[in-house]
Amino acid sequence: MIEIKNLSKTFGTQMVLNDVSLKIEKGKVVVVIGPSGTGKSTLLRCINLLERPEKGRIKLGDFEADYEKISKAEIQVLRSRTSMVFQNSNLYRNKTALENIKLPLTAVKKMEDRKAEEIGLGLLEKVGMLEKKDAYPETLSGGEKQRVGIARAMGVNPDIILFDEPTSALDPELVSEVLEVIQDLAKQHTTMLIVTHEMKFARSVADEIVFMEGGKIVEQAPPEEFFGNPRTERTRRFISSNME
Amino acid sequence: MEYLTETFIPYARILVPLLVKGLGITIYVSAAAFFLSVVLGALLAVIEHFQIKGLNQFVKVYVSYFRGTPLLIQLFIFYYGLPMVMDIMKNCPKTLALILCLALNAAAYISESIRGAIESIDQGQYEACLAFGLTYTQMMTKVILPQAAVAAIPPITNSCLDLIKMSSLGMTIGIQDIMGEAQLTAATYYKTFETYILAAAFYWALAAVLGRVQRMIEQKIGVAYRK
Ligand SMILES: Nc1ncnc2c1ncn2[C@@H]1O[C@H](COP(=O)(O)OP(=O)(O)OP(=O)(O)O)[C@@H](O)[C@H]1O
Ligand SMILES: [Mg+2]
Repeated sequence: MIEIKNLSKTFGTQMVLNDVSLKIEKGKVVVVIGPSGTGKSTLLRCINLLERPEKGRIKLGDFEADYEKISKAEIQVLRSRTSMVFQNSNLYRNKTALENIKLPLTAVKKMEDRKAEEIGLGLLEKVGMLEKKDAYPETLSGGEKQRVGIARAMGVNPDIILFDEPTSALDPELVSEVLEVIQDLAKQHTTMLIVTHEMKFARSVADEIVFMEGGKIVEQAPPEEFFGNPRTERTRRFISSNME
Repeated sequence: MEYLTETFIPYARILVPLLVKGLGITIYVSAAAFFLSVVLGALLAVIEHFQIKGLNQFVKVYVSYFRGTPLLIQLFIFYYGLPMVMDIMKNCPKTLALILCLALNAAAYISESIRGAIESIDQGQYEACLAFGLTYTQMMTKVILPQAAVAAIPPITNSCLDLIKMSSLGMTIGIQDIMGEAQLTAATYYKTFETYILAAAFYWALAAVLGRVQRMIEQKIGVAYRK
């Protein structure tokens, strides 16, 4: 379970997140949608402290921290118990596919090399990348990079995986191979917070849809209700303009 | 043709062994200076990159001075000037003076190359380290610096090549390197053209070897960056 309370973040004078609260139950998938520039990425990046929010609290299972006076050790806990899949994959360019998965395990989790290797190979198989285990990121397609990125995020066995538009940098024909992997994770009840513009995917993968605009959560509902019977006029317009 | 057999080759027989002796000195001076300059350059780059207080200003002045003034003047200040005002400099052997001078000069350029290489690594690489909880040291040693090293090889090889060529200025303080031997022999035999053609060939050959070494290193550690 992860819970964010009253999260606020400003860049200069611009309030990017305005008192956002969100709760994600263990094993559930929450999908965040909304127009460009409304703070979706920032929300994700505040959870693992890639951005430092001014206010708010975060609860991760039995761990709790106050963003206003968060310590280095607490940041470390948050980062080692969450993981992230980036829009541009951000695989370590000097590491092979397998080494990408192993590095957080050996460096952060202090796992033995053999154990990390075993986990890495298992995950590469799961995302259909086993035969590319020794390939460097430079030689992989966008979709392959994303699948390795997802395997890397799963490797650390996190409380939650954060996805920031995992398919929006991909050529259209590569999108589905990545979405399928994420669907699989959802079926195995992996806790996930996903930002995406893929509405059909959002509808099928989510347990809960969150619609954000202007740094606020405007509407939050299960997908059938959200898409079938949106409560606000703003949500209705966003859905209709993004569904075709 | 006659010129070759009657003049050039007989003279080359005398000169080449002397140049080979000089080559040893050139390699020794360049290698020592290069090693020192890489160590010092890396240190300066780290200070600049992390904006370490106090030292940061010093590095800026250092780099600006060594890049902005002729090496020959730096060498004269170091070898002829400083002994006038500092007693310990009076006993500084000339080879050491040349090595230190070359190293201090090249370090200014190399620090800029290393800094540029570190800055060329995109923000996403840092974020992928931080998001997974790597410490600052782990991030630098396992991800950022290995990538920066690859990016820094071409400019650092250039600095090494410059350094080899600039070491010929050692002649002005009496170093018997390739240039020193050439100058002495040319003066003895009055054969300026032949002497410097051969001396140039020696430097050129060194540059060719260095180019090969660069390619070998790039083959080895650049493997991750080839499609
Ligand atoms: N590092 C930063 N410095 C200054 N402003 C920033 C920074 N990062 C984001 N912003 C601003 O904050 C706002 C929210 O950005 P964010 O990236 O969270 O939006 P988003 O909802 O993810 O948009 P998109 O759908 O385009 O990815 C934008 O106006 C953006 O310009
Ligand atoms: Mg975004």
